[in-house]
Amino acid sequence: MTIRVLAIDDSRTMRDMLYRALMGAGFEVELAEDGEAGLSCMEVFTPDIVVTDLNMPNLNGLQYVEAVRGMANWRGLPILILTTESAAELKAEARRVGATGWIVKPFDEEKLVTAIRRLAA
Amino acid sequence: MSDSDLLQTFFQECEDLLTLMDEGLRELQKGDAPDETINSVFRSVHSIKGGAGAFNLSDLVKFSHRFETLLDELRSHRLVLNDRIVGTLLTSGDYLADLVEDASKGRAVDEERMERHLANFDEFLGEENDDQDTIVTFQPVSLDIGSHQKGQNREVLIVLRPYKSLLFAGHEPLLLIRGLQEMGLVEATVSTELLPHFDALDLEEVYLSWRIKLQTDEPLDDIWAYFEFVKEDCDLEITDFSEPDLEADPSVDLDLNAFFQSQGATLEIEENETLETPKKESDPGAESRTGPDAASPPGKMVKTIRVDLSRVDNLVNAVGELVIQQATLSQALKTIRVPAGSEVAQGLDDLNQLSRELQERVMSIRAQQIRPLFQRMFRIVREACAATGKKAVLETDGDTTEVDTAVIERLADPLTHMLRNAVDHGIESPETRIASGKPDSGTVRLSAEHRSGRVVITVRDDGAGINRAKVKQIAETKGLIQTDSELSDAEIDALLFLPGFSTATDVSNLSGRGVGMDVVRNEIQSLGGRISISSQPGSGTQMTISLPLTLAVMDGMVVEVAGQTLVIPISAIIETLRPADEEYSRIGPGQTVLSVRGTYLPVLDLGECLGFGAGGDVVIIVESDGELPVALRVDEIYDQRHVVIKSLEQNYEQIPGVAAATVFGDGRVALILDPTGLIERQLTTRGTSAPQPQQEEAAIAGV
Amino acid sequence: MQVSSQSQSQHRELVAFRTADQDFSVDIMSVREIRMWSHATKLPNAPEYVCGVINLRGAVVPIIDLSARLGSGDTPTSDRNVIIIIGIGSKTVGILVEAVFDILSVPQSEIQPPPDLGGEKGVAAIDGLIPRDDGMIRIVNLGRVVPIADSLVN
Repeated sequence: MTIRVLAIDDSRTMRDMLYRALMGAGFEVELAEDGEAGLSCMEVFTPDIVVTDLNMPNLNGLQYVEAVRGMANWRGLPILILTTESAAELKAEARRVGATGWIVKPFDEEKLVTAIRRLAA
Repeated sequence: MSDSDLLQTFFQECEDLLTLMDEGLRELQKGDAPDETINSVFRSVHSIKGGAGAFNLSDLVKFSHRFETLLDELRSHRLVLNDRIVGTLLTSGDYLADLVEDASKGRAVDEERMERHLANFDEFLGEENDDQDTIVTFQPVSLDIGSHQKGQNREVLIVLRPYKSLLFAGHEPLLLIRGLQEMGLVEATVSTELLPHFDALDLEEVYLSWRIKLQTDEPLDDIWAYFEFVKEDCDLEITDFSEPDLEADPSVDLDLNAFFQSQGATLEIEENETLETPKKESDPGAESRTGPDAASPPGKMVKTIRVDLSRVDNLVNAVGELVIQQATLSQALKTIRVPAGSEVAQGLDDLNQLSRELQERVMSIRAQQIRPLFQRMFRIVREACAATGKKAVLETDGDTTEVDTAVIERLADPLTHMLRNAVDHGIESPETRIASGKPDSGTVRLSAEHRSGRVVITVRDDGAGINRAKVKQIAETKGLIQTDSELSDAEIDALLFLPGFSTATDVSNLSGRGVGMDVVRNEIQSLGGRISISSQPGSGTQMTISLPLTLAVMDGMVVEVAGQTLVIPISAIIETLRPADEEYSRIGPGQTVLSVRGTYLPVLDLGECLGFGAGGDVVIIVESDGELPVALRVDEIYDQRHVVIKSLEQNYEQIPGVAAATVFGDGRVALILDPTGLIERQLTTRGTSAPQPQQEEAAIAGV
Repeated sequence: MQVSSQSQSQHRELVAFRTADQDFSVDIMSVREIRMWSHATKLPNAPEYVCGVINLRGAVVPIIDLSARLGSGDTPTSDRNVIIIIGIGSKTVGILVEAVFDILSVPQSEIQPPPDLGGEKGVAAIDGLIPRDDGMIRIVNLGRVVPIADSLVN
């Protein structure tokens, strides 16, 4: 079964890059521009894993993770944070809300794909 | 998408981001400094940095990074905005724009100028410390005390005991262990010693642990790095059991080595380890998070793309074929009686599910509002009036109802014909109308709505109704029915659909074209729909088309009734009120009416109709099939939302009064009401003391 | 398509659970997953034994209170209640029970037919019994218990 990835980032360029990288890896990809759009996307597209940016308008990455973790029917959904930030507090916060892991931008395509393959059935 | 395309996209996006940043900075200059403005400027610069990093535009990265840092200080209130800072922000913004332009033109950057601009930040941020902000991955660095370089095959023992939080964060132990195979030969044994009896099993707790033997030539650092995401959510021990190759590395301090080996651990130094590992609460997956801010997305549009309609059509056709094939397969397998629960039966179910889902999804790509089609009908009616000398006006309703594009196209002809009929045969001449006390100009009402899982389109005129005597006579003359046969009104009305039926004596410019209602019906049926006709002599005729709903979205009003949250289709709502108690009047046992601007409307307590309990004080007035609208009592009205329609029939069955279900952003299921269906059902079962529960099969006996 | 093989007809794999003070089991192949109890949206005028519907990864799935369905009263509310998600025909349905306690592999020879109910109008929901020392485990006929079974199930 193809892995379905939902990629959330408010930067058009980032979304294009993610799309290219993930489609190239043979995943099924859906894109959203912020946390809120991501949530509504999930009502119609059931992802096996989500990759999300942190800094976004409307609902940012952490708020998005928190929202998803609060939903019983999305239990166990792996969510990777994609971010340029490396601050320790941010990572702790990400962990606290239940993020599965993080990838640093600029992202290494191979690393991202490997991480996705490892986390999503 | 080539690299240069991506670069183009990036620079285009930079333009947008710079404009946004500019707006924000101007706000700040004016003295307006709400958090959101600072955040917005931060995000713009942040995004530029992110993209620049991806394309290795190092100068741009360097500057935007510093710029971003200042903005970060501001947005977290560690720094407060003042005139000097604003000044720096403005010049930095301008310089950033210049840098972006340089990058897009491939121009070299003036190092001196860069240094000067960077220096501006020092005043507020202090000297730049290079290591602090370099982008690093969070990796443990092991102290190399003899753990071997790659190339030496070793046996590593990994003991993994996950905590509940590991699963909560979306990790899957099976995948984690399997992934280790990338590094070498894996042999894993699970320990179930902590597993309690089923009775005492906490379904969310983890009772399993694993001893994993890994034959690998990867250095231990890499193995630790593999577990970096989960380290804090489990007990993890990684031990190297190979003999240290002392001969090869004589500089190794033997004692230290042995010491660490005996501890079964590898010493590691983690960067910036200032964070406390918070204790996980007992139930991090709290179920009732229904906070409105986090949970209810108002149907925000996702990124759109333009696609050739023909491609979509091909896709739709292909999916149509797929669905047919799947149904054929399903049929064929039924005849050989596949045992329930077998892989084949299971696979078939899944296939069924998938193709249905696929069809829904693909169909929703082509959904559009019916409005343009309706707009075309105004002219049709005008032309029909001109050709027949009648006077009539078209009114439309439900223009925003979404219908599949292909369906809309194929509805054009049938609707055209129905409207022409309405003007030609339905509406009387102006003189006749005046003689019967009607206004000289007739009204034809064209409406569309989603109802009970279908798209319903009606054409209603206020003309003379069907002349049943004449119709019967014509049918007899044409030999379509036996002379003197007994027919009910409805049956006579239905004669109009017979092929060859046309009121030929009434040839006008329009009907002379010879298109009968039978052609219309065929067309509707070929769309998978139904058409029916009803008429009242003197008042008018109504034709109703019902088409399958192939779409997945709808506009609804979220309401609360007796503690339950429901969705009422917007198209069904006329208005909402909060009447005072005095405005209600009882006119009989269990029958109440509400006075609304002089008219008494029947009142239905929605909570009681649905068997949930008594409703409240808010009233929603909805359309009904009957003469008057009906007032439904609910507890509270929330907001209007775009909802995704989920089938209830798929796993359950059709419930009268309920059109479908939907799932809110927070995961809750809410029912979508079918008000007309509900009202109809309610009014016909009036007289019984309570709503009838669905018919039960013969009671089953347990043993 | 011949499906009977020696091994298949010799053992039945079942998931055993307890509810209404009795032990039951269902064919393991029809079990899709086992979930904790979660809030179900009520359905209007539904039979007593239908608790409501839940959202299972986007699909709307009805939950049937097995105890109520068998006429033994509503299952008492408890956080420890469990929903067994089963696939029946093309439908997915959830069964509310008190606790799952075992996975069994029972030789066909051990399974006894259900008692003859004689002239009663009732339709048997049980299609087999597994005798155990401390009682018996009833094998539930899902097709009878779930109100809207698909014709794919014989």
